[in-house]
Amino acid sequence: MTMAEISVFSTLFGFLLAGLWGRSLGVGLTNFITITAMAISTAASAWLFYDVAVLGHPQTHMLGTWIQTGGLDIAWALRLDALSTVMMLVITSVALMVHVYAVGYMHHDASPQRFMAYLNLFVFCMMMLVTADNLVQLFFGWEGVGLASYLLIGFWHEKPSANAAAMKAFVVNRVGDLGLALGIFAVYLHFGTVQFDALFAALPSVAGQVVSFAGYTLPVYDFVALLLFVGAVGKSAQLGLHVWLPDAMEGPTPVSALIHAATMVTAGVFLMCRVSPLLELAPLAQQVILLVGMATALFAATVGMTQFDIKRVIAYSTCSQLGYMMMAVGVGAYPAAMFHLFTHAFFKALLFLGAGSVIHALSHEQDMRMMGGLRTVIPWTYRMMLVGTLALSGIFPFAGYYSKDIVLESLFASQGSLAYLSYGVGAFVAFLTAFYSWRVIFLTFHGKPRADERVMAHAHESPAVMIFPLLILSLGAIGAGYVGYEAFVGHDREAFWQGTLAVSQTHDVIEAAHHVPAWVKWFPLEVAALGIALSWFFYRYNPALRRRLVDGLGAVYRFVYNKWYVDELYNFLFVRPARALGRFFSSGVDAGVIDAFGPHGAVALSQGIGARLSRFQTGQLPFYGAVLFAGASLVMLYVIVRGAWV
Amino acid sequence: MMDVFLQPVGIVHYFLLSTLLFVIGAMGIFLNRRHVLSMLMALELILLAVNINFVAFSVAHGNVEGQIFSFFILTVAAAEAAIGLAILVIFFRRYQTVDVAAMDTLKG
Amino acid sequence: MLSFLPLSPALSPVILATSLLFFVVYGAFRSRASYGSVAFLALFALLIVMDAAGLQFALNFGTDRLPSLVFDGLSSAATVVLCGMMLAFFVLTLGLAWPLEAALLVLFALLGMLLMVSADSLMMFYMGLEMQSLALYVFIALQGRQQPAAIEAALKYFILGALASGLMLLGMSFLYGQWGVLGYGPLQALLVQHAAVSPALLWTTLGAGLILVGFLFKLSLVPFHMWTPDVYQAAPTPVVAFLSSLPKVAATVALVRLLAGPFYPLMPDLGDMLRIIGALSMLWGALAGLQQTSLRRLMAYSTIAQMGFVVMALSVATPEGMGSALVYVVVYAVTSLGLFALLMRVSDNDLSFNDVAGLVKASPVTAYLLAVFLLSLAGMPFFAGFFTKLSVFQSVLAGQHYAVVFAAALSSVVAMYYYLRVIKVMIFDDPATDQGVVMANHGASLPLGVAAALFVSVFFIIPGPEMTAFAQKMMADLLPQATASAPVMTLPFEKE
Repeated sequence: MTMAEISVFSTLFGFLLAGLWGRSLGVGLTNFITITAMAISTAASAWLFYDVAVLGHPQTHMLGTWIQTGGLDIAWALRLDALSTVMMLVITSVALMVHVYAVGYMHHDASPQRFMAYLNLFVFCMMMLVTADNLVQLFFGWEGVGLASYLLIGFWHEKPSANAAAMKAFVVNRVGDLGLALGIFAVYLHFGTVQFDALFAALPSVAGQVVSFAGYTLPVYDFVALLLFVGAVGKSAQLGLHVWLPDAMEGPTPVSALIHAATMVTAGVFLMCRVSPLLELAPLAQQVILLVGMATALFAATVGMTQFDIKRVIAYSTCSQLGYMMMAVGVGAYPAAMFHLFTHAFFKALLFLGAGSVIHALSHEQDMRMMGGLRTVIPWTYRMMLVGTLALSGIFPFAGYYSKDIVLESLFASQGSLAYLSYGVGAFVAFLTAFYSWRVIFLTFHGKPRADERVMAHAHESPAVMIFPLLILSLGAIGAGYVGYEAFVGHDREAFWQGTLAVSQTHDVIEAAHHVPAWVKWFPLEVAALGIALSWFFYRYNPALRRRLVDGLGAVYRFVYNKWYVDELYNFLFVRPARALGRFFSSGVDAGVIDAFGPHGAVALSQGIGARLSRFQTGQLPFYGAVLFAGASLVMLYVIVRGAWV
Repeated sequence: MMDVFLQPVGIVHYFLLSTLLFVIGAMGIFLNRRHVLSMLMALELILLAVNINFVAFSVAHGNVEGQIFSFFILTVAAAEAAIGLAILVIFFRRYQTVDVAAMDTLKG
Repeated sequence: MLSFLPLSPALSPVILATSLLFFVVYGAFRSRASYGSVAFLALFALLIVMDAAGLQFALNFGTDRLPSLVFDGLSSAATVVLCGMMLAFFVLTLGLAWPLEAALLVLFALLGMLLMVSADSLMMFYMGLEMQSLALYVFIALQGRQQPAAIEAALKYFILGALASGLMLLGMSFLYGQWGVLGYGPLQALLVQHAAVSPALLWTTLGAGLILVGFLFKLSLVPFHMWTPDVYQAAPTPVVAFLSSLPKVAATVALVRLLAGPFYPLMPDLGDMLRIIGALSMLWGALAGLQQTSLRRLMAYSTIAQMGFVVMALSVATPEGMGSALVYVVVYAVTSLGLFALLMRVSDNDLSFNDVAGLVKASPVTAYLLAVFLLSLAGMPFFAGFFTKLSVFQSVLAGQHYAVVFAAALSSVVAMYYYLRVIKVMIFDDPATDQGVVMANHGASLPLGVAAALFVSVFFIIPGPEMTAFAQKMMADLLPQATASAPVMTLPFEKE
């Protein structure tokens, strides 16, 4: 039992224990088991992080053979390098906090054991994903976290909206997963392996080769990279396949914090970083990634400005931040993407858990129009949320400042034609981010209480078991950027990453990012401050002006408020035709043709024949005698004919 | 075909006779639409027709097995008649009829 | 089988006949003699008969002969099985208020069956058959006091049975006319001798065909099955239990003796006919059963379908096929006996589906045991019916007769519906009336049902494999040794 196996599998045991016997173990014991499993996993991951990433001992643990057929050789293995241990550290530390938090949050729920079991299952699958040594095992984890996400979004299955959201998440992710699966097939087809090291070694072998598809010709690198990116788009909720993420907020808030903010949704970014040597050879794919990232960041930030559901705002903000990470990937600044992923995990989990605390205080009210004035009622939550918001809006010296800055500087320093445009968009999004994240603070905690009196009378600070994780995470939100800067993107980055993240031969973006003009470094901070100021102006100082502005921008506002009508568009383009097709096949083809001529037809035919045969049995003795005699005659006839013929 | 009638009486004639009797007996069962009693008589006819066969073949083969068999068949025929009549009697007692068409409560 | 008394197996029908005579005298002179007392005494006679027949096995398949009778492994095994079932039947009916004559009649029928399975000549076989049939006609009619419809059924069965045996007799006369012999042995010798040199003989095959008609009637195969549903529906349940078990075994064994003996050279020809009739029966039994509302009538159609399997297996004329047919029919008889014994716990009269709806509430054990039997009849895996069907399929497929196997598979699928429907009605439906199913009290029917269900359930461990191996080995010994040599098989009907 090595440390690696302990870190990955302890949660599997937790899941099995809690899932199979949770009912008889009781709530307390189940909580103890799952949190212990989580703590063991966290401790092991921390140790591994120190050993692998800090001391520099990358290693791969072979667990066994999975598939071995012909040229396909797939093993269960735990790949521990800087990239995976960073992810493990993020996952386990946030997950541990969320586990603890969930004890308080799910206290009144009917089946907290099931919830804790699912959380453990999720962590196990996520660990399998990040430690995968090959694409197929990664796919296993990928689907596993998808399953856990589905189960947890639909955790309150008696709520129709939760079921619908779970279904939506599952179906939309299928689209991405199909892309990923096709990507894995393409990798195997062109490189003859799905194992990462072998894949990277085989990269030069297809240099110059192209894939022709439907009249288009693409270099193999771009073709494969784009397919894999489709998977990342689905999981990381990039524009186009983002529609499931806001709806996923139907799940309990700890789920939103863990899965839909800190860990699972970043799997797409992780995947892109994992295959970064491939991306470095696929300039076209990089351009696409950059563009999609830009569009996502911008789109989500605009929508986030208009939403009133506190969790949805944070969800759109997640979407937007994932756009940042994708933009960094798109310009080859993988360390910057990972750095932002790292810091974002802490402050976004903090924000979500804080929002959960707010919701908890207000008896499950999520609409910010029904909040306000909570600053004094739930002071600790307020302080923590403030920390998270400062980090999110990129204010010095909080974590978000460091990571967002390096991302924006990388964008500026990149050599592509989109460098300045992407920097501009990034800075604008930073402005929007600061605006809407402070809007949350102002609407929720400041002003007069808008909730009705009974709710306000009942409002209370969350128990220590929920505040404590907030405190821990706020430490991350404050210090993660400063602590990690040098290792992730600073001077120590090459020693830290140990080559797991590709660095362009011709143009080291991160290096270039350190040498951008000073205004480039200051500008994001300035626009963030401006955003905060505007937010204060519109929501605290002069709300009337805001209302006039909203009225004046009626059409634009509605467009943004309705999330650019993406859901409606998809409904029209895909959902309704798919339903019609399904109805056609179920009632038309299946019931009308297959059933009619198949089972139902056979049944009707059998019954009909049976009825006829029964009527044959007339009860009349002479008839019986005639049949008997006729039978004997037929036997005789048969014998005679047979004798004559044969 | 007419040769049969011109030849001296032999095995073929007995065989034709027995076949004729057998067919009449069989017809008596399924063409008879009225009386159970005549069905019993038809059954006797069938057995006796076969008996003619056995006796004639026995003579033709020059062994006695067939004649012995025919005695057994006669015994069986007697038992059969007795049993048939007995069942018919209780049937009549119960239904006050021996009409063939009356026996149709069991069907389907 | 252990043998406690040093009796020759040849004595088994003699012992039975002697004790029967004693019972007749006993019944005639002792006015207080009842069905129960005779049945009770008969148990001992049956044990002695079984013991005598069981000796056969101790003597390693030695063959004993009386004029026109042969006592070999097959007849002894059949005797043991038949007497065993008879014992079970007596135990089952011991408490019934039947007249004394009923006991004598079933014993006469049993004697007839013992003669049938040991018969070594057409004459002896015919006498056995008639003894059995005549006794059964009266046995059914005897129930007319309680169930008037039984008289009608008896009359129908009687007239049709007499017609069928008349046809059979005609066939025998054809054979006798051609060959001048009645014994199986001489007949077989003559046929084999002839087959080696000359083509088919019309009268021989006609005679054989007509004899088969008599068998097919007894085994209730299409189109000679018409009596079966009526009799099953009208006769009291214990009588149906008897009718559906012992005579089927006896007729199958007698048929095996004929097909493996004198008719063996004709098998290429008769085999196809038997397959057609088997396929017809399986399909007819399955399809016509779909519409039934009476449980016993349904079971009659089930019998017709099941007997189709037996004939199908016989038709291939290999040790495997005939052996599996024998095992099949024995398992079927046990299943049927157990099933009807359990139905007696509900009523002696006919039952509709409504009458057993929600049976599981009144008596779970009855319902579940019935379900075991029905599942076995349907051929569900791990019940006896599955394994017997499997070995039948295997042997028929070995002969490459795919069409009939297809018909059998189709029939199994269709018949599955009505077996499962009965189970569904018993276990999942609500009772048709408020008081639910009213149970009758039959002391012995439950233990018998349990024993039979146990047999059906563990058959695949014990004694299924042994039974099948034994039956197939026995048939291998019985069938002519020249099985594999083609000329004997094909010559009789080759044109020259």
